[in-house]
Amino acid sequence: MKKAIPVILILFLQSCAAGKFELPNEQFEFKKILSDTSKPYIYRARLKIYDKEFSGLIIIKTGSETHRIVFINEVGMKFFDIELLKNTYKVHNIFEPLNKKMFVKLLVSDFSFILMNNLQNPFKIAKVKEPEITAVKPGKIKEIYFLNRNTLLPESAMKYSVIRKKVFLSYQNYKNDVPGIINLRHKGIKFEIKLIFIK
Amino acid sequence: MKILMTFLLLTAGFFSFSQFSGFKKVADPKEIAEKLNAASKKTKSIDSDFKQYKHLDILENDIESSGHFSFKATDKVRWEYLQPYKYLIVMNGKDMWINDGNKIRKYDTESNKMFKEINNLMVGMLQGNILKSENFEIIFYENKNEILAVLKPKSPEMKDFLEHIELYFDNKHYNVKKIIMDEPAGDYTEMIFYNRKMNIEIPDSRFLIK
Repeated sequence: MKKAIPVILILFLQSCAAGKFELPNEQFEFKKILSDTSKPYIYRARLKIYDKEFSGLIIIKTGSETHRIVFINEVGMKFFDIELLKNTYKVHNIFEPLNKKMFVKLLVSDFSFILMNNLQNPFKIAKVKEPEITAVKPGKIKEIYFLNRNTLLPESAMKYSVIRKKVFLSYQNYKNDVPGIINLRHKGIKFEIKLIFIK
Repeated sequence: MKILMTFLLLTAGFFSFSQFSGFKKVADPKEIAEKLNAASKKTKSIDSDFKQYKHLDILENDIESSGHFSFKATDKVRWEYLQPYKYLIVMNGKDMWINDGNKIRKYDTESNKMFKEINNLMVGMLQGNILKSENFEIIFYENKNEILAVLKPKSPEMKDFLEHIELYFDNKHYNVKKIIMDEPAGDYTEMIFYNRKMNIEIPDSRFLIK
């Protein structure tokens, strides 16, 4: 019976995904967020991990195929400095109490999701009702981005895997193609990221 | 050329020039430490404006912020960031509050190792009693107007994120004028204190958030 439950869940999720979206043979170019390599993006940040909260600034610097993510508290102390590379990552620095393998993996996975690193352009899109369109990443881990049809920028996204861990993401208050607010939360893990754009 | 090099090496040793431009090593560090400790004991309160510069190698320009700082002996601290955003940290004994403009959160620093370390470090640096800490190796330097205490952490955990702390004291009243926290990879945080008022009356209510 225990073995049957995940199988039923997988079938249920697959049927949901297949039923919701048609997959026309249409290719689409969408815009990746925070992709300007000439300037850093600075956000006020709040990370909630179980009963602990960390606040400060997150600086995101985009390279040609990389993202450097630095989280500092207000008095300037560094919580972490992680670089997302193509198919891997490098931890430049992490404050000892946060230096847990699981936590680092979670950060890498979530920021890759926020920064749309797993999507390739051009991408096949699934057709959904106006004003949104949807990009779907096929494979073991499903990432569904709901893009605005006019701006081609993401407004929300969802991720689920075969073990049914869900991650929900929203991008709001765009200004010059930069999201003013980014919210990420997990279902099943008490982990949240809230980013508010400063400059 | 060889003679010149030999001369430079010998004179460098004689004058005790340091890596900190314009500063030389203090001849009698014990005497300086005693003076700074005496001043630290006399410090009942500090009220000051500050500017903070966060240097990250990945950024062309430093992140600049400013605000107001208050300290009341022995364990009350109020950091108030006013520009470019509002943010308030209040530490009072084992309690710590953070107001990020949207929400006030209270923490117990006894149950949160990280906040406790940050709390101890910040209070210790500003009051000057960090110089008595056994967690650091301390070297004193001086120039005409200032004393510089360079604190190198001893523990491997602290060395991971802190190369050293530079505390700049004026050599008249032995008060902290500037703090630089250097990180191993070259990033640093610089805090400059100005409009300082020492030992004025600051009401306890400044160190409480409701």
